[in-house]
Amino acid sequence: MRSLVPRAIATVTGIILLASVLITNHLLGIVSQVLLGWIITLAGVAGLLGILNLLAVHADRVRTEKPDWVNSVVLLVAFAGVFIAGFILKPGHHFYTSMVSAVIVPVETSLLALLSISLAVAIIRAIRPGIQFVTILFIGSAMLFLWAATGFVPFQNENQTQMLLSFFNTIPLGGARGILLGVGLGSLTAGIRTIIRPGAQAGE
Amino acid sequence: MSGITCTQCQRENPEDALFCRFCNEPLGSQPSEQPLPDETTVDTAGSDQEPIPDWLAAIRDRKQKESPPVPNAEPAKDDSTLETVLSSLGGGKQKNNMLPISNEEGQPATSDARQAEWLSNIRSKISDGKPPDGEMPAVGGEAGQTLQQADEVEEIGEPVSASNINQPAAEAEDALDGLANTDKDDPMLQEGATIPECQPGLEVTIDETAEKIDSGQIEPKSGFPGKDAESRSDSEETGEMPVDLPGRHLRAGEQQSQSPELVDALEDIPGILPGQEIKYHPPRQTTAQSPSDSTTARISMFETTLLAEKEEHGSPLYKRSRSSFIVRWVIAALLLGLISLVQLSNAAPSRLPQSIPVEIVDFYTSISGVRAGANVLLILDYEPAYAGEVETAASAGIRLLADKQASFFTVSTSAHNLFLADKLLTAVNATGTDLEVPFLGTDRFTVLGYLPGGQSGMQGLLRDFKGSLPLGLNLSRTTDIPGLSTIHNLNSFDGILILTDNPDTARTWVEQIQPLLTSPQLWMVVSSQAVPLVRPYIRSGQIDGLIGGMYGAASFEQVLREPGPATQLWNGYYYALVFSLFIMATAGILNYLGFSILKTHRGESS
Amino acid sequence: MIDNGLFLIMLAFLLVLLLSIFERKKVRSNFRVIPSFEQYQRAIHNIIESGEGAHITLGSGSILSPQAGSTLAAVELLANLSRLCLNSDTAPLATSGDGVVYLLALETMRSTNRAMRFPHRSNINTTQITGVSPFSYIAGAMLAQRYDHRALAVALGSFGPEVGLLADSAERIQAHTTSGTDNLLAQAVLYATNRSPLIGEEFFAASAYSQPDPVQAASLKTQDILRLMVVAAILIGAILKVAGKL
Repeated sequence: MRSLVPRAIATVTGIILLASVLITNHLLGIVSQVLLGWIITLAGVAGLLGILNLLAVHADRVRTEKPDWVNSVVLLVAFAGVFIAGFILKPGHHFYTSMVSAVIVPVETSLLALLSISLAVAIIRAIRPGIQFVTILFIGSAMLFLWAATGFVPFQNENQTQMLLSFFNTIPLGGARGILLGVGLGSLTAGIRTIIRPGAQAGE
Repeated sequence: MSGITCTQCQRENPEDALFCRFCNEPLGSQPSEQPLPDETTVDTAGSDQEPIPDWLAAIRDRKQKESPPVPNAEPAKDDSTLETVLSSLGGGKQKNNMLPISNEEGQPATSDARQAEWLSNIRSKISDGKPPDGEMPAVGGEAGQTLQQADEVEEIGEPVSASNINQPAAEAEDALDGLANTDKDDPMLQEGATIPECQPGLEVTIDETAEKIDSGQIEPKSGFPGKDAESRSDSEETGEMPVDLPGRHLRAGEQQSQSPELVDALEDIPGILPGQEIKYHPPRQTTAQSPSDSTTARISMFETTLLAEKEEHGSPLYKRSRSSFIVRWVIAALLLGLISLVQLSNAAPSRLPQSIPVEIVDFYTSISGVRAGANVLLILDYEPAYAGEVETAASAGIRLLADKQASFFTVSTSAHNLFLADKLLTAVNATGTDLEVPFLGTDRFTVLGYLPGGQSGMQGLLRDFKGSLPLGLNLSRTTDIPGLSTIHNLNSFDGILILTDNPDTARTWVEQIQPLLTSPQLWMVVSSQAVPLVRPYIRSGQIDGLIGGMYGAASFEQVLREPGPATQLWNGYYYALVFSLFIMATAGILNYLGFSILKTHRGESS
Repeated sequence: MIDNGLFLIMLAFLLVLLLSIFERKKVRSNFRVIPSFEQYQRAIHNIIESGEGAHITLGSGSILSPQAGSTLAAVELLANLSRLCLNSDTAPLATSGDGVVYLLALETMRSTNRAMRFPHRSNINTTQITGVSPFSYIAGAMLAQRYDHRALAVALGSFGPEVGLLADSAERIQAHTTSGTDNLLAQAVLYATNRSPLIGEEFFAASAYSQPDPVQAASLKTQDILRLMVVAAILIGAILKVAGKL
């Protein structure tokens, strides 16, 4: 009985929201708007809980002096600094937004740069004796499109070159569409599973 | 086989299984709540014995051939049973007095008198400090042979993974050694001595156990709950462990055939443990001291895991060639050095794109058609990591709109780029040297903040723009913003420019929102990673213009004939791409050759 | 007038429902072999035997976004993994980058532990949110992976290409890496950096493989039926278009 109520709520909410997207009905629209408001609020609360968890985990790391606990101290101090500054200055303040973006943008861009290096190394490592045909195709197409991104394609204004480029461009597009269709159908059935048996996600 | 059907997967499981071997679902009630049927020990009849793995059979055969014939040993019987041990101890005379190990249900247990007889026999022999009459083949004979085989198996590297399950085997070995040596100095035979290495809470003295068996508190055959009411009540009264351990209920034949590790880990346990009941029925065991539910469940789960492993696998040894940090550092340093050099040289852009993509032309055409003073909604949906690329790509388009005196309203559909609107307009101001009216300090650029709710939030904008965004970034009411007085929903705008690095977001806008748009133009500026997935929407006419990455931006600036940020960065971008291609091809070939040489070298040396 | 989307959803709903009722005995009768999934299962058994831990990261796909389906599928696999890992000495570590996903993971781990009578294995360190933006989340997950030295790194759910960093860091500590995601860019990156990537719908089928029950099996069959219908529709549409042109 205890798990029946949340299951029923989850199922009914899911069905109403689904119906409101697909069926044009005034009453359904109002109900779904209210439900959406609640869901967005709950998602925000969940986000807050997640942030609290983040802080708790790092506080625990500091308390127990786990390896590299100093990093956790930096995180906690930075969090406190940004939080307090946001309260005092408000999020729209030019200095505040500049300060935050001056930290976030370079750090994340560096991570992206690291990713490009990691991918390059992964491709280099993949080229070795015993390489599979699929991997050769993967590496070949990656290098082909990298080359195409330079814009330096000989005879690219020729009709035959254009046809060839169009052909090469269409293959990954078709593959991507196919995968997306599969993913879409998978998402659909996963959602239906949840509606039919809401406890499945909790391992019940 | 009359087993239990799993409610989840509808597959048959052994009747004593607690968890489905196929899907791991609990079968019936929880272990602590469901006393298992009478324990199933290994069938000692040689003919009924289930086949053992080839490797084990081979070892046994070899050992049997190597070992001299043992007098008074029962050749046809299972060499690892209590029967053998006791018959050996008693010179074969006490065969009828041995513990009944048959697992046939309903078969009456051996009488208490018989138990008392054989146990007192053992006790007298132990207390005398002499071996029993006749030979003492227990250890040197076949029973001991199984232990040796087990040791040998372990030595040759067969997996013995379940240390907690192997533990009883070690205890049994110790116990048998003690019996065989019959050394009074042996602590094993001292009164009150405990079997070494017993699990906590499972210690038991041999003497006390014998007394328990004498007094009938322990039923060697049917002393487990679930078999008969009498024995169960006895067990409960004396505070014995009420629930059997599922890890012990292994149908040897069935499970051996499925899990080679189980064979190895448990093969010698049931037969070798003549005191199996003794081991798991400690006389002092109370309900409070019994293995916890978690222990019981853990054992059963372990069993399930072993059963799920149909083939023998060694312990995890992930062979990885350690990634070379040097290679990473070299590539990073070279790329950084090259880009810095090219950008600092301030050379005129060379090799700019010559082929202008059709979506760029569409973008230009569409924006050129927008009325002066148009209201344009900028949707910011890119991560800070992509800010450099997306802002560079968007810069020329925004400047073109700014030249038309458009009013911009920015909405972030991702909380992470809430602060990027300011950065964007700063970037546009910085590059737009020819802008008549700069953005900063004017009311032509309104930052509306974050739109929560993802796709639902976007759809909300279609119905009620200001209702979906009640507050701006400065926590001011959107209804009080003068520029929004004529805006009711998305269709009130003249154009919507979406800046994103995520093809999923682009898809959501095109597939969910665009069909409901009546008047605004829909443009996109996307990261190069999203271009292949967004470009088809241009072909289908669902997007009115697209700029994709640096290539698209440089192309657009060429169309405008106004060198902008993309043109300035083009040289560095171009040479970095060419160098990346070169280094991947070269290093890849070197890697291939290196491994080939190494392989050949290893082959020769081996 | 029934909307096309509504028709598709209703059809899928009915198919799942009917197949789970009428074919409940044919669970896992003819599943094709997914090599990556087999490697993943083998890796789980290996870490259980060696007493090492697993790290499953569930992405940052909000439940309010189109990525919700992949998040739900990932949580299903988390339930299975956490149950299997009860055999291991080390409880699995679940990380995520979204508040709702974090709560789902927390509840899943707790439910599994409660059902198996191991309530003490749930604590703040076993379910973590490591960051609230995609990159900070992945950076946090990389650190969690490194600190706890997990021998199995599983990335399931919705990610961007940044998940490649996590796979790379896991490789550097010689952990086995498995992944499944709905994001095409992430799939492309993970294909290069991962040991056993689940491609496309394989990821959604994984929960049926690991936890076969009538509903799971029915949903898998429904996927196949719908896919065949889509293929047929595309082919017929293409033929009609060509014929129309001719």
